[in-house]
Amino acid sequence: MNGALERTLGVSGVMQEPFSEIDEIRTFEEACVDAKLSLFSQGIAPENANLLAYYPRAYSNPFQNMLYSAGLENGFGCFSANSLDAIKDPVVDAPLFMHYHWVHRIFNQIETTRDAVRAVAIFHDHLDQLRDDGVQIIWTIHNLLSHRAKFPDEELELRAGLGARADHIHIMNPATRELCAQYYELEANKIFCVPHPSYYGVYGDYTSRAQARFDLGIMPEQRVLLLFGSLGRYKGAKEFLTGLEQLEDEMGERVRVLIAGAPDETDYMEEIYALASSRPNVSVFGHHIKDNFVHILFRACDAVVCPYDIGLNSGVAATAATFGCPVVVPDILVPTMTGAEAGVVGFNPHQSDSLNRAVLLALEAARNPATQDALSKWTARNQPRLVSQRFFAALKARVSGEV
Amino acid sequence: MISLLHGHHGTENPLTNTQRLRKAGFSKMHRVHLLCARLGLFDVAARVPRLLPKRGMVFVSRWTGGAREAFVELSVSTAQPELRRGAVVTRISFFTHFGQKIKTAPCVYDSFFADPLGHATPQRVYFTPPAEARWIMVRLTRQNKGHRIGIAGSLSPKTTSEPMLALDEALALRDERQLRLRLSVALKTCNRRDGLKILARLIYLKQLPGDMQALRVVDDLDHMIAQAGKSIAAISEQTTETSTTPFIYSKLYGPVYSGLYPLSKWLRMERSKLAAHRRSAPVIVPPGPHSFLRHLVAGIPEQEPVTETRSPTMPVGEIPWLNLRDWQTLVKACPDGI
Repeated sequence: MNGALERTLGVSGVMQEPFSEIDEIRTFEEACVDAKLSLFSQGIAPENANLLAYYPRAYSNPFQNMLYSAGLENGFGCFSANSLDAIKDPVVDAPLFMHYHWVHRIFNQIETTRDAVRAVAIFHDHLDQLRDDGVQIIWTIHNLLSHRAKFPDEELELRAGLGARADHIHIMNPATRELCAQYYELEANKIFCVPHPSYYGVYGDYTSRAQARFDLGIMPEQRVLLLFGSLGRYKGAKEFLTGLEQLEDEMGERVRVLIAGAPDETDYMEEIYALASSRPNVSVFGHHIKDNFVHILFRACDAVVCPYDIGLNSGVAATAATFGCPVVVPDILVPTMTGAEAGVVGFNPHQSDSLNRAVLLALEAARNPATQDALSKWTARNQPRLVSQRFFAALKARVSGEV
Repeated sequence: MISLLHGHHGTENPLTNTQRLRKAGFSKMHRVHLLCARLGLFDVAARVPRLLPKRGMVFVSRWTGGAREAFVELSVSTAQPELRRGAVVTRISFFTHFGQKIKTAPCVYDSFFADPLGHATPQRVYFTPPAEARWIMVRLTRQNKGHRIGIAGSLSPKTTSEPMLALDEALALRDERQLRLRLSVALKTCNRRDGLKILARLIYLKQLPGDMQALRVVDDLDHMIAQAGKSIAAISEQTTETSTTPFIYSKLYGPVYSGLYPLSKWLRMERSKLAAHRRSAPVIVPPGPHSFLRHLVAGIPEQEPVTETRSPTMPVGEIPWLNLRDWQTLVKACPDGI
């Protein structure tokens, strides 16, 4: 039975990512036992011990590790569930929370609309079954709709159904409910907002700006913009490159552009390569960036640009702030970084010149020492452990009925 | 439950990639085909398009072309809707008459794009065998073992002697040789505009460091000329002492410009050294070795006028991609420009 639901839903591909052997080997039952033992060793009383299984696991994204980093001390034993089937039968006598993240992955291996419709129904049945078993459902909304939705209508239905069945909905952008309303309803009393953590302590950070620039072949006086993260159509790198000449005209100088991230669509990457091939000041690192290289990119740049057309949250913006880089984001993302406004410049994706204007402002902000100060404070205030504390505090308050 | 979702929807069930390729006429290579190809008996994909086996294949053929430039031409298809860069990797190795591998000639590695079904066009991989080569082995492997690939065309290497195509034609193809022929013309005539186009295309196709380096060099020159020397003149130099005695700048302080990195960087380096030596004294650039470079560094136009033997479009030999007219522009843009 183990894994049958994934195969049915077509999510087996999730486990093809770089995987943790522990997650593969450890059964759900053993993970529950381990979690309880770990909680007891932390001095958590049995009545305060909770289990939290999350799904799907994102191995190349540190978000889940950051979010759950203060789990045990808050009475939550958090572990990834590598199989949806296994979650059906909680085996230990502790409240179980099932926390969903990027649920669109259930469509990963699905080819036809008919199968997608069926997958939604099966997933909703799975949620109903969990609820019947007394499992509390949490959902973190990372996006309005997945960036490359293969079946947008079905995905909206999936999300609407999950929203309706969830006991707790975690949002990171205060405007999430309003923004989602155009697609699906979210009940206000289920929602709690804990913003995205900074990446304090997540990546190495030992290189100086001068050394990072030298390593990347960047001259000290050059101004450098970084586009970081997976390279999908929705990430706007192509549009940015198309408008680069105009930006340089406005600046009266050439900028060095670094584009770094794993390719998302082959065709799109070819378009990026074609645009970049005639520009020696544009470097494309079209692959997943290893953690030990991340700080070199961020330390070398003057500003980070997230030319997305839409989004609810941005790990890249949080990473930029962590490294003290001003960041350009769609207007919709600005409220997610309260306190860092000095280094977060919004643009309107529907106005052609808005992005370049924002980039110019970000470059200006880069020269202002107050920007660094604001970003450092934001980073410290939102370091993962503290955000994790806030997440579990909010969850406990909801469970105990305080909220 | 599994069967409800996978495999029982009749017309809705999509074909596998192998099925799509087979439907398009690509046939499987059997062991006998692979063996014949290895023995050089049978050019397997010349008449019938073939599916490239997961483990790849080897084709050995007799070679009588000596050290003349050769190529292998193939069309490569994928059942995926998107083009796949470097989908088929080739390794070409050379052997003597007696089948001994010629160790002095390194293997040639290259790759083919795979085009979506119905859009595949012939692509060539070029190489120059060593003179003593009598047998050539072409090995083809899939870059990603999971991606089904179809190949069509002869694996037998051929010599090439096609004339150079017009620039627009060459830019529209994926033919590296044609692009390099056009590039050498552009270099000889210091046609940076064409050079940039050709290099951009080569970089898109092959992503070779040498081409990227050349693009930086050409682009840097173009930028300097467009800025009329602004970027050079803006270089800050530090000197505290002054002198009124003319300074003779008779030889370069650093190495001669190699043309392998942007000229602006070399200029900055040499200029800073000159500035430290001249101590604000007026500079005289006498004739001698690397005269063009020294004049450029000092920002002093050459006294010798342009004559019939030195036309404005004549390349400045010491600086690739730069002609005399543009060199003068650069020199004049920063008169005594330290």
